[in-house]
Parts: sequence; C-alpha cells; structure tokens
Amino acid sequence: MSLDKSYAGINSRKNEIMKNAMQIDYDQFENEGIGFDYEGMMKKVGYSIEEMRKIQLDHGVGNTPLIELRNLTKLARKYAPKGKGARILVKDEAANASGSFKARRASIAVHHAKKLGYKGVIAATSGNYGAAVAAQAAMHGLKCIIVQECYDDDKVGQPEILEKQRICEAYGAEVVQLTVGPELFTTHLSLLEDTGYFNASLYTPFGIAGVETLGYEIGEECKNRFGKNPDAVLCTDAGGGNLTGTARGLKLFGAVDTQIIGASIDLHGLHMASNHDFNKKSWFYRSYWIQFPIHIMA
Amino acid sequence: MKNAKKGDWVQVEEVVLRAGERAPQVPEDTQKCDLKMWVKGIALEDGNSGDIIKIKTVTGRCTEGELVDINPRYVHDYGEFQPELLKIELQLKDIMFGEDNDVIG
Repeated sequence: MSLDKSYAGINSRKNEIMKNAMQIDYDQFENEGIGFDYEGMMKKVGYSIEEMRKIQLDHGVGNTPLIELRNLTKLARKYAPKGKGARILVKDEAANASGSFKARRASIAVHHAKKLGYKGVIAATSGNYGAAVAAQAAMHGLKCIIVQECYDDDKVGQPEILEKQRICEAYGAEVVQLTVGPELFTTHLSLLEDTGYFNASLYTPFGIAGVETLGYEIGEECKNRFGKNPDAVLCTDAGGGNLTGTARGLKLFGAVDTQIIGASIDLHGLHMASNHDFNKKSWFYRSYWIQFPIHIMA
Repeated sequence: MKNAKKGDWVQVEEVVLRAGERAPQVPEDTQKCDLKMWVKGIALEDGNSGDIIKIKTVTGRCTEGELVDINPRYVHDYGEFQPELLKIELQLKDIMFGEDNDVIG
C-alpha cells in the first residue's frame, strides 16, 4: 500500500514519523492540561555536561576564545553613568567548526544520530544551524538533507540564507529549497518518512542541551581569569535556544547571580508566513541595516 | 532553452502545494502563491527546460521535477553599499581615537 503523501496525509502521521526519527515519545512529557515537563524531557538527553564537552571538542566545537573588547569598553565608559561601564568581553563563537554557536547543538544531535545507528540526518533550517548539521554529518560520515525556506514567490531570496545553502552544499549536504510558508515542516516530515533519517532539527532536547556548554565555558573562564562570575551575559535571541542554553549552562556552573539579558531584532508587524514580508526580515534589507531595531529583554 | 543530458548536474522545480490549497494559517498574500520547491541532482534522463525529469540527489534520493537549470551557480550578493554606515564608521573612529581621523573634513 502506498502512503498518502498529501499535506493532510503526511500531517496525520506526524507523531509516528517523529517517534521513528528521534526515538523520543513526546507524549510522556505532556502534563494534564497545557503543561509540559521540560526538565523531564531534558533529562532524556542522557548526556552530562562533561560528555557533551568531550563530544564537542572531538568535533571542532567549543572552548572558543573569550575576547576582551577594550575599545568598546572605553567607548561605553565615555557615556556610562558613574559606577557603570563594565568590562565588555565577547565569546567568539565563530571559532566553532562551521562558524557559529549552532555547532554546539548540531554536534550533540548528530553524535546521537550516529550512536542510534541512523544513516543520515535531516534538519529544517534556513540559518547557521544547517551549516552546523552539514559539517557535523560530514565528520561522522552521515548523509545530510537541509530543508530551507529561502525564496519569495519571485524566487528572490535572503542572501544570508542563500549563502548557507552554498556552505551546506560545500559540506556535502543535499539542500531542499522552498518558498515561504510553514508547510515546510510537512516537506520535512515527508523526507524523514521517505529516508528513515534522524530528525536533527533545532528544537529537540539534543539541540537545546548542546548550547549549555557555552554558558558553562563562560562561567568557568570568568572564574579563572577574573575570580568571579560575570555580572551580566547578553545573548542574541531569535528562537530562544542561545539564550536558554547559555542561561542553563551558567546555572549548571553555579553562576546563579549572573543576570541574563536577551537582545532580539524587533520584527514587529512582519508576518512569519507572509510572502510579501519575507525578504524584509533579511539583515540585508535596507531598513534593518540602518535602523537596527534591537529589543532588549532583561 | 536549456538541454540537459543524462548525467548532467541540474536543478528541478516542483509545486508542493497549489495556491488556494495552502495551510489554513497561511496569510492571504501567501495563499495566492504556490508552495514551490527546488532540488539539485544528477539528471537520470535527457530533457529540455520545462520538461519533468527524474534526478538523483547527493544523498542518493531519487525525485523528479521541472528542469529549470543546468550546473546552477550561486548568484546572491549583499545589496547596495550603504553610505550611512560609512558615516557611522568615521564618526565612531573620531569618537574613539580623536582628531587623527580628518577624513570627515
């Protein structure tokens, strides 16, 4: 019997496809009502921080430099009120293999896929995460498909996404490119079903846990270099993975008094699934270059 | 018109969902567009632009779609130069390093 590959048909098998593609049953974490046992799910990851650091270091990830930005600190102190103007440091996550912090997430997800015996991995992502999964899959000798939302209806794409396509292909991955729309996830499910590959998408416990080493390293290095925890850590925040993972890692290290601040670009008024708005969300769309509307949540 | 030979590296286009059949949560402007998909692979048969041909991707997956390109190249760039950013750079250098930067004039 051939499977019903219509939009509704694929979605009706969503839970079964996800179970096969991750060997995790999310139903077990559902509480009564709308509650969800997040900590219970994270425990299922089954990797300690030490294990994750070893997996990452074995694959070109982690121990990135924490660089003091002396010029920026000096500039900030010109304008800071008396008693403020902290020393500013940046964690250079571009030093990870594939060039971003997303390698931390991908390294754990792809390691897990290999351990479970999957032949390949698939991730639905238009950004750095795709490059990270493709790089890690290449290191492990696994096949890799990256599913991207990258064009509007006129086949005009965001350059940063198209550049990720180039990088993913350079790492040997197959890139499936789509126009705007949340139905991308149905294509993703369909590919998982057809190939039997592991779902290495971002919002899995493996993906989230992998970022914890980032916060842990910050805590550890600050303790060693300055003898104290950082007063505040500012994270970019889009989907929340960097922010959540870094905060969890700092907490794991014991830096419980550190203030965590998320900084997001304000995409207010731009619909997530709008063909018309799609390219306005690009970093290279003129208004975003010039206005830099940053929204900071403490 | 492009003619692909079996064994060429090609890009094919496929309509996944037609306009009007999109997911209900999709906004009105997107409802009017097809959900289109592009995949690259090795042509498993000869074909001209617009023909539906079978391909095999680098993961070994076989699929098919309308032939749109042969040896597709990367054509993206990062847009126009933004003079405002140069002004910011020079102003910042002046603030940080003083009067040595007389390029602003």
